Order: sequence, then C-alpha cells, then structure tokens
Amino acid sequence: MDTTEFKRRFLPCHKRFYHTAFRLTGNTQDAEDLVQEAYAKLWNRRNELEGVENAEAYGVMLVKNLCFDWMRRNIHDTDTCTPEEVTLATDDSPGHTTELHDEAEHAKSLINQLPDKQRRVMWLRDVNDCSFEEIEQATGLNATNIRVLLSRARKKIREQFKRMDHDATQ
Amino acid sequence: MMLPNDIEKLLARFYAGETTAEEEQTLKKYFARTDVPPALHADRDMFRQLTEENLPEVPEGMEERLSAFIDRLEENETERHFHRPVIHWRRLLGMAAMICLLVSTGVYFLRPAQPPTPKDTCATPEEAQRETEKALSILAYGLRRGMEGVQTASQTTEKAHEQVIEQLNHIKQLPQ
Repeated sequence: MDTTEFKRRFLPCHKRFYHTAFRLTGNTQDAEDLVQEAYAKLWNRRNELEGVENAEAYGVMLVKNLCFDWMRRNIHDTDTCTPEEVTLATDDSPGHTTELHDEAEHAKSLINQLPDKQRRVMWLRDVNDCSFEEIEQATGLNATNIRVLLSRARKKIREQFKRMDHDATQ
Repeated sequence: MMLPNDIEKLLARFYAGETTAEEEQTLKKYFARTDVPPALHADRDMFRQLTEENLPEVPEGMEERLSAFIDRLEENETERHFHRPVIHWRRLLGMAAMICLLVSTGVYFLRPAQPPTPKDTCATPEEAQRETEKALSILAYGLRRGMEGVQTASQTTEKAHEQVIEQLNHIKQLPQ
C-alpha cells in the first residue's frame, strides 16, 4: 500500500479516532498524541491491512487499545480519565447546545467526585461502553472487582440524581 | 415492549453491576423514551446524561499535521532503505576466528577423561583365531628348529661316544 492509498483509506478516520481517544483520555493533547501513535502503527502494518474491509473500525480498535495501555501506565494520575472542558461540535440552537453542555458537565462533575477506581470504571463502562475485558486491560482490575466498583459508583450517582430530583419537585 | 416490572428487575441488576452490554443498551433505549414513570425519573436523567454524545471539536489543523506526519514516516523509511548498513567482513571473520578458538579451547579442556583403550588387540574372533594360529606356527617352527638342533647334538654326542669307546678298546688291546 503506497502513501496515497494509505492516506485515502485512513486519514478521513482521524475525527473518529480523535473522539475515541478523547473520551478515554479526557484531554486534547494526550488524545492527539495517541492518534498520531495509532497512525504510526497503521503505517508500519499497512501491507497487512490490504484485506481489511472496515478501515475505521480497525483503527478505532487500535486507538482504544493504545488508550487502555496509556490509562494503565497513568493509573496513579487521578487527573486522567475524565474530560477537561469540552467544546461541543454541534450546529443546534445555542439554547439546546448550552443545555446539552450543562447536562454533560453535570454528569462529569458527579463522576469526578467518585473515588478514583469507581470513577475510572464507571467512566469506561457507562460513558465509553467499554467491555469488561477492555476495562481489565485499562485498569488491571479483575471482573469481580470491576462489578463491585461499578455497583458502588452507580448507586452513588443515582443517589445524587434522586436528591436533585427531590429538590426540583419541592 | 418492556414492562415496568422488567425494567425494575433490570435496574436492580444494573445497580448490582451484573448487567450485560445488551441489557444496558435496553435500559438506555427505554430511558430515551418520553413516557418514563415519575418514580424512575432520577434513573432516566442519569442514563441520559451519562450517554449523551458530546463529541468535542477536532483540534484545528489536525488533519494537516497527520498528513505531514505520514509523509515523514515515508521519508524515514526511504532513507533507511538506501543507507543499508555496511558489513565489515574482515572484522566479522576476525570475530568468527576468535569464537572458534575459544570454543576449541573450551572443548579441549572441558572434554571428559577417556578410559584407556586396550592396544594390539583383535577386533573380531576370526582375526583372533588367525593371529593365534600364526603365533602357534611360529612356536612350532621354533620348536622344530630346536628339536633339529637337539637331534644334531645327540647324533654328534653319540658319534663322539663311539669314537671314545673305540679308542678305549684299542688301548685295552695294546701289549702290557
């Protein structure tokens, strides 16, 4: 596969790759670095990728694996994993955009208040739809631990929403 | 259509951390509806906010930077192809000779002690028989030669005895 063909197949996927990386890493710089690393790996394997039908799906899986390895290396950094301030890409009305933004920020802030392991596990499972195997890869925890942490995190967040709902109806 | 009882059972499993990905998708789809009972509004809000697709904008110029990065990858690969490493044959041969010397020395000094092998023996019974017969014929020849010598000595002695007797008889016959 020459450079032109490689760019034709994989360069258009960069937005999807970036979104995947950003949702998992939570910051723009690390997300872009990991996307670049993914392109380097794809380039090195380009001759094996001739038969790959869905270039985007293959690339997204590669990006996810790089992100999980990155998360595991940075497991002691409590600032990773949950997103920084997000600039939303939407052409909805400003009011709707603001509402979406506020709700998303609200959910993020609640998750950020959780203990570190609960926060990571809930972020991976309930925000990024990661499988238990992927969460194991990213955190080093086993499936039993993940389920217990998920249960505690979800119950805490639900309590927050119940309290808000109760306050709203008063 | 899922009944409220089914949803509550699924929710119980969800908060216990026991739901599968498919079951969680079922819950998400349910809470995206507008007819969720008030008792489940808190759960609905939580599901909606957690699964909201808030995709950030891609950093400006990212595609151009990636394209330039790919061009650099290609250039680096081309450079490596034309600058093949030079093989220093003399150095390589010298190292090979040194390794052979070291291995030989090691093998010589570390070889196990060999038991002494017997010398001048025969490899087969047939050969042993031939050699024995050969030795016996040499012995027989020697014995024969020896016997011939003894016989000659015996004949000579007898002759000498006869001559001595003859002379003694002659002496006896002389006048006194």
